[in-house]
Amino acid sequence: MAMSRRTWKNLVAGIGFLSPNILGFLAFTVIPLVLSLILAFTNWDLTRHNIFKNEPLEFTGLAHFIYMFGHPRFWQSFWNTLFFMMGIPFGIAGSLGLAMLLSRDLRGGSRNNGFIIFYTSVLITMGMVICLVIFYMVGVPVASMVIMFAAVACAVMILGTAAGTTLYRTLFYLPAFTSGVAIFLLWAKMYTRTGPMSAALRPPLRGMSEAIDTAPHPALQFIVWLAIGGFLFALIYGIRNRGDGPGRMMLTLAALVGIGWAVLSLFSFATGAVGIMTPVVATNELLVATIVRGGYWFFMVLGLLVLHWGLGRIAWLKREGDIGAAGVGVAGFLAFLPWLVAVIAGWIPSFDHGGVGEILTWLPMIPAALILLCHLPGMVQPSAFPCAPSEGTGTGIMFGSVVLIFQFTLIGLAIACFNWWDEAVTVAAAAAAHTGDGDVPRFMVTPPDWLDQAAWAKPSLMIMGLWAGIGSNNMLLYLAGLSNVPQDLYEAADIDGASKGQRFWHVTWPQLAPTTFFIVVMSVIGGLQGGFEMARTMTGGGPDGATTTLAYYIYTQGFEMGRLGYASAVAWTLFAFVFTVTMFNWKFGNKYVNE
Amino acid sequence: MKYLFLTGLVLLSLASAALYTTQPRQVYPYPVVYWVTDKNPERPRQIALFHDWEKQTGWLRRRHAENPEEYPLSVILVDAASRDPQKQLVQGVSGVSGDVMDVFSTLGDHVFYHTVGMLTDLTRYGPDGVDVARQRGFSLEQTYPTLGQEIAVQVWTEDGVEWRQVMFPANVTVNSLQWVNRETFRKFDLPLPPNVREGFTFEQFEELGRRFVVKANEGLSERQFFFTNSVSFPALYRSLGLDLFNETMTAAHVADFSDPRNPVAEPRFVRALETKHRWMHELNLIPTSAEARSFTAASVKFGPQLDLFRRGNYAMIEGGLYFIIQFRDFQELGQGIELAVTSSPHGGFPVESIATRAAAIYKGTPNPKEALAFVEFMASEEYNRDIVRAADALPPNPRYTRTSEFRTPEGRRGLEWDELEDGTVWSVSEDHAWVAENQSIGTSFSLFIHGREVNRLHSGAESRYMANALPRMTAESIAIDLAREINASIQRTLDDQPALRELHAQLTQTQRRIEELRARGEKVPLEWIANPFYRRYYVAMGWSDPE
Repeated sequence: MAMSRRTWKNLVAGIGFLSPNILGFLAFTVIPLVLSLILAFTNWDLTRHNIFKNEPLEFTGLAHFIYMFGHPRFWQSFWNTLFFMMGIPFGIAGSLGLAMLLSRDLRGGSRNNGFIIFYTSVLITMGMVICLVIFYMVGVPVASMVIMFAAVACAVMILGTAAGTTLYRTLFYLPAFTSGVAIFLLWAKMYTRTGPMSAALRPPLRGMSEAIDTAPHPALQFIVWLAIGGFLFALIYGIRNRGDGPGRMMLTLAALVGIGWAVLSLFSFATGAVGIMTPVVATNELLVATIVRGGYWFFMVLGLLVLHWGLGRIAWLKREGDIGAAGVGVAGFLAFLPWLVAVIAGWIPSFDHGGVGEILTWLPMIPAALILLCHLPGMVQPSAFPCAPSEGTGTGIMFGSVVLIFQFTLIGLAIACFNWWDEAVTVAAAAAAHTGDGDVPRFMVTPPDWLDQAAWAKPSLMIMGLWAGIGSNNMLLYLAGLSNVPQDLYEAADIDGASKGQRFWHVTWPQLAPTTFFIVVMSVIGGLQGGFEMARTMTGGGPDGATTTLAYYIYTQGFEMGRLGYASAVAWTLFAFVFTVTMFNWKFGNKYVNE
Repeated sequence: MKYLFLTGLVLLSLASAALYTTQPRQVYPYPVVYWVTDKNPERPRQIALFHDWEKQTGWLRRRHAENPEEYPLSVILVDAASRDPQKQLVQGVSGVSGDVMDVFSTLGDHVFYHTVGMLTDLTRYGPDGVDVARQRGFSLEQTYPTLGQEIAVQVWTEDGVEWRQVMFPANVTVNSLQWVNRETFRKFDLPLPPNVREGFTFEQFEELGRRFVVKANEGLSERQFFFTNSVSFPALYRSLGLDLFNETMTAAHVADFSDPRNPVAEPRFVRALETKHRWMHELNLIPTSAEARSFTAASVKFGPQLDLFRRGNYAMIEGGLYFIIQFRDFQELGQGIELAVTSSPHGGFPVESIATRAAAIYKGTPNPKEALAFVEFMASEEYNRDIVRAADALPPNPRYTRTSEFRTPEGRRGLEWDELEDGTVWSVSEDHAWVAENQSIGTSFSLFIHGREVNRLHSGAESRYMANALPRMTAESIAIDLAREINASIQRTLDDQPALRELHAQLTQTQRRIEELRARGEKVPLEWIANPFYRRYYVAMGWSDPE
């Protein structure tokens, strides 16, 4: 049917008004996109192809891709990108936790939360006033930064009791609508040696160094570990058996000890070893010193526990018929991969003493191998509920990835503790040699050079990313998701006698699955594409390429080196990777959303 | 609604047209030349000076006098927003760059821009290929001989290798010299370092530095005083007779890959690396990078370093004559410093790094003649005398450092310094000028690898070692890795650009001949050597005859 004249006119007018947008989209998105795909297979280089030089463009096939996969700087950037992405699960967990906190009514007088916050803030303020009086009377130098932070925190909490969640939501969302560059510059300043991060760490670290130096460490450390173990036992036992009397008592005891010690520590952190705070400071120094000294073993053991739990869980999934042979294989490989990487990449440090000391740090590899061997039969045994070999492969990959990330984090922390300790000895030796002072401790634990040490640059940027990411759009999405959870489900859970934890795991978490899925997909895409602004503003991709992500690598290759063809090839490889990961997420993650 | 949208469209179109008509090139009745330079209060004055010069002596004068309507004089406008090198590159290849652009030579951007083709060739100018730089009086002869590679680039023609000038210096500096705070040395009762003519050996540096840091940090729990803020690493290995590239700039020279399975690190590079490491970590003469940037101090030009130098936290500070801008501010605040200059420590062959901020003409400029006139102005007596008067850089032409104006304070700023008996700013300027002419050498830029890539690899290697980044790392492994990466990048360029392969092959052949001659103890023709460092070193060692 022919269109009427009026319809034609409307159509032309509509297209006319849309055309600026369509033309813009074509000119600045579609055409460059298509061109960049073509460029990826050509030798386009700014040194030969521009308005002044018009050499014929040659088709190079897969040459850029072959070069890329053989180039160590590409792999370094790729690894850096993946490293930064390891912060995503922590960021999402933080956003969820924050959203759950902020979904409550926190105004004073409205419910218990308001009272708790109000009285806590009053308590802390009083504590700060006492600290200031102590400073005035005793003349101890003021830890001004700590006081300032605590005062700001108190002010926020007091205001929060009046304004409720609106204030907190605004404050936590602040990084999301602040210019990225401004935030990066601020953090770059914070990470300097005299910045607040290091300034806050320096006094307790110094005290800790002295404590390590003077403490008869074997016995005392043993006692400290016993205390930590006892505390953790009480906490875990209490949580697991909170329904019965002894369990509740243990939990209350652990909570009281934990919160009480945290409050005392906060005061002592500000006041230093003055008056009644002296034993608190001394004990804390000993505690931290013990953890740092035994940190390598502590985190390695945690890593082994995660490995044990992860492999056990994979075997269980196999036994239940949830995943087939392929899923078990992939999950098992991913779960054990961190230990393989640690060995192959030479991450395991050594005590440089030679002999036994040389191999001491390698000891955790033995239980890791034994754990794998112990779980292998369970992982390969036939299931009572047989399924196809490819069944649950996605589950296996996702589960294995989570276990992998946690283990990488723990192994990384272990090695960081070791190196930190090692450096403490070196710094102390240098200081002693330099000052000629016999009173210099044998151990001097100093704050790290956040952005200047290759080992610390990535974690430093991750910490900043977490700070900015937790209160970002993810938090808003979770807040929206939480408000959409039907109340009748909670009521049904209450009628069934569900605890708070059970309400979360069986109602909230499944109901948030679509939100979580969306956040995971977007975070992964953002993570793979990210890191450019940070690198450009804070580190220039250094030190020694430690913070060069794929996005920054593409930029340097394209706009510094002029290799537009190669940069396009890397960009399209990144796209393919993002696409694959997203498809994977879609295929396997979506399943949980719909279930 | 559609009429509303249509009205919006019409209004926006009108606004765009109005904006276009207010553009300087539409407003001014004569050619507008954009000068891409840094945001510096000196620039408007220099532009005004150019306009005066143009009226009095410039090439436009005659035509302007004959027909001022048809041949109006040009106007120069500063574009300080486009100084970022990546912006310059992107604007350049897009045809919208400024007409004259400042390029800092230290990273070899001019070599890359020339390879891209966005710089005007001043040696083969125009369709007739005239040497306009020589013709108009701003050729290499009008500046420091060692700036050759800083303003000219190597090209491969049918007749062989040629050097083509693409820029002329706007000012010159020697970056690696050490400024000395006399008061700091006096305070700790230590002798001053030797002057630039005497040179400062590794041993002297170490001995004096050790005494300083021990005395200055006495009783302090943390290091707060350092002998200097930095020491140029290239100056260290160059002073041992080694450069990053070989004589023909075809490969890295810091490791020997004759036997690819067993590469051998160049011992002089290893020694330089270990020496600097010892100064930083064992003797604490130099702060680590974290220590250096973590000092908090009043916000002053060039960062807090100069304030730390003034306060004595650094007994010396590495940098060029441009520091005088800040020293002058200190002086005005009543915080003047008694200055002296010493050379960077050397291992036998004193050498410093010279650099320039030079002006290049964009190839796509709509006003090539006006742009050329502006570059020509930079070689003029008026401009050189203005730089001399400003006293914060060396003039483009070394002739003007030998004038009475340069050697005496009359007509220059910062007169208070001259009241000092010794170590006046004038003597400091003279020291810089002397070093620029006698001891300094420019950076080595290879045609086969981007200067920024070299810088990234080189500084990465240095910082990796200085930061003790890897557990099993040695100076030898650093040298081998660096050489391997540079050579791989060169190979990548050759793979990408077949036109360069022939040049590389020929130069590699020349390199072999140089090595054969050296092995036999015979002299090497200087014209075979492209590397500016080796050109001077070979002559100094008597391995080549001077040109």
